[in-house]
Amino acid sequence: MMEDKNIDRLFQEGLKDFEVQPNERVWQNIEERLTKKKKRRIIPFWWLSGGIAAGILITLLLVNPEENSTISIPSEIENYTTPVVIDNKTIEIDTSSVNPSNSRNKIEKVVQENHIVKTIKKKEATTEKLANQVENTEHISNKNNRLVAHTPQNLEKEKKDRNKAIEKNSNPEQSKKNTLAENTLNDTKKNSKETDKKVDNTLALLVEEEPIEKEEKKSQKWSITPVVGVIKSGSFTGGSSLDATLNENTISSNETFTYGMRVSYKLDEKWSLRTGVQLQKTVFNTENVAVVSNTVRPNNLSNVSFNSTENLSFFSLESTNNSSDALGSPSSFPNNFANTRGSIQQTYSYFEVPVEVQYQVFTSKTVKTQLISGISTLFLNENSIAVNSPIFNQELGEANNINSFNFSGNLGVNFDIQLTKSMLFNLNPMMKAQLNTFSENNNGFSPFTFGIYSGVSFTF
Amino acid sequence: MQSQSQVYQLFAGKLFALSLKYCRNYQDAEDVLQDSFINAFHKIHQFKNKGSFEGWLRRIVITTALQKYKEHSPLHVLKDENYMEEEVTLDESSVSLDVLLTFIQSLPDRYRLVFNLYVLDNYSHKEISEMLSISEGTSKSNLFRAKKILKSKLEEYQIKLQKA
Repeated sequence: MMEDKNIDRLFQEGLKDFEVQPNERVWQNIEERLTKKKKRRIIPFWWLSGGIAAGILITLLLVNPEENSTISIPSEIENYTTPVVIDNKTIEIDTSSVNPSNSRNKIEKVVQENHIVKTIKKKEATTEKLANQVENTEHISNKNNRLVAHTPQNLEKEKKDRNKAIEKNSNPEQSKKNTLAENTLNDTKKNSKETDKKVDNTLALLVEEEPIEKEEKKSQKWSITPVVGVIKSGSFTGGSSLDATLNENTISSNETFTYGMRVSYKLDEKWSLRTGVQLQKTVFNTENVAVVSNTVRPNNLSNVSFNSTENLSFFSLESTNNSSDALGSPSSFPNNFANTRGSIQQTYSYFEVPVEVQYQVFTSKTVKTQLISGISTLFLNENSIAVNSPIFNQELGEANNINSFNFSGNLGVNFDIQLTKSMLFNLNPMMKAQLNTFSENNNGFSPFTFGIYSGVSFTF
Repeated sequence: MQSQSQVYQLFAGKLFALSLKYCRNYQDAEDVLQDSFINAFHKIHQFKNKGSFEGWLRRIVITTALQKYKEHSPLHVLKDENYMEEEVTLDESSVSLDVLLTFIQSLPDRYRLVFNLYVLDNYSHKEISEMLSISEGTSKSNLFRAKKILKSKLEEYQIKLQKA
């Protein structure tokens, strides 16, 4: 006599040490999928980063250059966890069946039938549910109707009839030869001690290897960083980009703010790539300039397009060879001309799109240090020249020798301080040498910027 | 990849057996095993040494199998069901492992899942109801029906054996 609990026990005991080695193709598939994903990840990055940068840039240029504080960068996280739901293979008669010719025919039939069933199912989705209920009740009351259990989703009676034939095929005796025929069942009781040892060994191995693997996966690949920085500009050489007569004047620069968004992608433990978009502004003051408002002399800064109708003449008060200046000195003007001493302020700003490589040189639990090198593409955004003096404070026009596209070579160091698991504070001094600022007549003026950028990175 | 291969070699046998119990057939069980390992390797950092590693892998296989069948086979509770068990005469020793497996595999999806979870993997009806998004009552009812089917299968099987 057997009670309910005995059924439980029968199955529990019977299947306790059940172990079946899967076909080799399973591991081959796993291996293939694991390596495929690793390879694929690098290629989309280029597309993605290029896309993001271009997207932001176009948005900024088209919408409103001043409003770039609202930049948001879309991000994508690859999700590996979606399990694949494969079509219902409702009836499985394994090809390992002992009568290959027979069963093959049957399989073909079954496959065909399943196709039909599937199409019908689609059309009759609603009636299916009802039918299902009916079927379930039936199959409890009707012991002979075992095939329902085997193919619960085949509902209509005619399909049941068909399946009966199949069910016959899967009576317990044949099923021995069927599903499990190709499997060798391991006698695990015998081997259980050995297996325990193996488990210990491999877990130990895993633990050894895991720190590397763990770290790699823990340190999320992507990070996004809103950046604010202070930059100071300078020139590697003397000279004035405005006019050769001002070559010897002192040129000072104002500190300006820069801000933007940066995205970086970790290639491996040491290397990562970063890009983004930043608004960068440069202000140069050419000091000690005499400004004379007059009606007789033309505007005399060769690289400036003036937009005022007023004639202004500029003279260097530092130049040692005033005599050779065709315009003469301010003293050659009559006294009634407005004559003042001031500076010429040249301002230009760029949208900067850097593409940089980071190399990790130092890592501790809380601080990481990277060397950074790369290039930036600079898109001219603002270009203006103004004069600042006790009398005049006015916009003159714009420089006509500034290229609308510029590049800079970048070099710097980055310090990351871990704030939380996915937040880093970073401090990033960068030196950027501009390569192509002026189209002509730059009189040797070759600007660079030195900036200290900081931000908080969010990794994901 | 080498350590992954070792992990696979070590656990594939047990996990495939588990997968076979939860799945309808051999092919589905292979698919579930494959997805489970890929999932596990991607999430290996989430294993925090709290339970056994094998237990963790088993849960992944079970979850993957559940997801595969969860949306299908909407089975309904019969509310006035009589849960009283009938007694069945069975000779336990004569039922082999692969027969048991075939019986389990032939159960309707939901019955099979509930039976596996409750009887073979010791989950409670409450846990099962959460895992399968069904009510506890449905879980109990499904288990009852699963057992009923299994019983009748066993009976039939033995009758055939006796005749033979």
